[in-house]
Amino acid sequence: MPVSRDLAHLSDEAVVALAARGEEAALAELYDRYGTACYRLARRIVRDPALAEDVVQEAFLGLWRGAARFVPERARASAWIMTLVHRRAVDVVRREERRRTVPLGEQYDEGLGDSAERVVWLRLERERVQRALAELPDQQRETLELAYYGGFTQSELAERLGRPLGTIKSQMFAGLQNLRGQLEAQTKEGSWRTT
Amino acid sequence: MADDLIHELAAGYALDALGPDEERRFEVHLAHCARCQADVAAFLETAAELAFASPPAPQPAGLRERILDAAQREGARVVVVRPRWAYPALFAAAAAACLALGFGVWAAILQSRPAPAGALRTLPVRGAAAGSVVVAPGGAAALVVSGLAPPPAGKTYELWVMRGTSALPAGLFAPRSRATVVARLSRRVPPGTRVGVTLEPAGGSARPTSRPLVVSARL
Repeated sequence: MPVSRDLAHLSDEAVVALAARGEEAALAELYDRYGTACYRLARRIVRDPALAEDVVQEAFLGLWRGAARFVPERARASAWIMTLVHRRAVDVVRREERRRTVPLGEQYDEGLGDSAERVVWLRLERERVQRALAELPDQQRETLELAYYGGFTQSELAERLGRPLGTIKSQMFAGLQNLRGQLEAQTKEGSWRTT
Repeated sequence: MADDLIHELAAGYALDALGPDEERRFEVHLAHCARCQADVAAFLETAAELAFASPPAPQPAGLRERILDAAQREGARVVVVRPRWAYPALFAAAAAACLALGFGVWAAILQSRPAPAGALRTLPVRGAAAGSVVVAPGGAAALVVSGLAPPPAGKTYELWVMRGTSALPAGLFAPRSRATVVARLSRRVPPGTRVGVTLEPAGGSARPTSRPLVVSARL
């Protein structure tokens, strides 16, 4: 599609604004940018490939319908897209009760059907977040990971981990704050190195 | 003390890790707590970063085309977005609703938030509760009422968007006390319709099975 080539130079937020005007090429562009990351997240949470596909499809349709309401001053578009996927995936695992027992299964090579640039970008992003997570105290990391990737509620975590609910709430709060600090520190380091 | 503890829920909220009751309780708090609004905004960004630590998985063939086909079939229809990204509309709606209920202080705080373009409509309700339905531009709406008794066991309140004698389901809610409750509608409220509330069997009904307990003025 010739139009989508032009969109490659636009910011995510500008592309969302075009999607809000009903331009399908903008939706295609957002899928090209974030479809792989979205599917990986959905797959990690719901495990089942077909369910993960449904999650991504519904999230993108939610994006299509809701693009007009997106407020760029309040969030990055990529964060919004991931939030749509996460919310949908968590709804699915809570409904299906599958996350508790099904193991993640086989590991895949990265980059099937993706451009080399995107594969590298996704790997760098993954390493960046994993480095930040590794800096957290174990219990905080465990709480964040089980909540975000496992779809467990705070009450479920308290029961599963045998900690008081109040402790879980505090650990989740401190964990996210720490993670945010770690990610910010990395950004500063990274930009220092490149200048 | 209790207030301090509720601030901590901002993290669980951003991670989608609150139970349904707690989530609603926190959203009511969020509507008037600037600190939690800032925390949630920052935490949502941080939580979204976690997405990128997911392991590789083979991208399904044809998903892109299926999504684009479905979008094309739908056209550019605008429906209600995930509530947590609809803050401006929700804050403004809550502000207007607070004014309607006489909570001047809340309203003053909330009105310092950016409001969406276009005018909010506040529809007074009559019936078993006092309050209003606030409709943001585009039709996203919330019912804000007080005085509604918790539903009896096995029952729930159901929201409806009503036109003439037809009614479309717009979500369920179940207040735990007669205090103020904010219930978002899962469906847009178009001009010429009213919002109603009926008592339904738990799980809700596809169409009302009883006369509305609360009805709003017509938009």
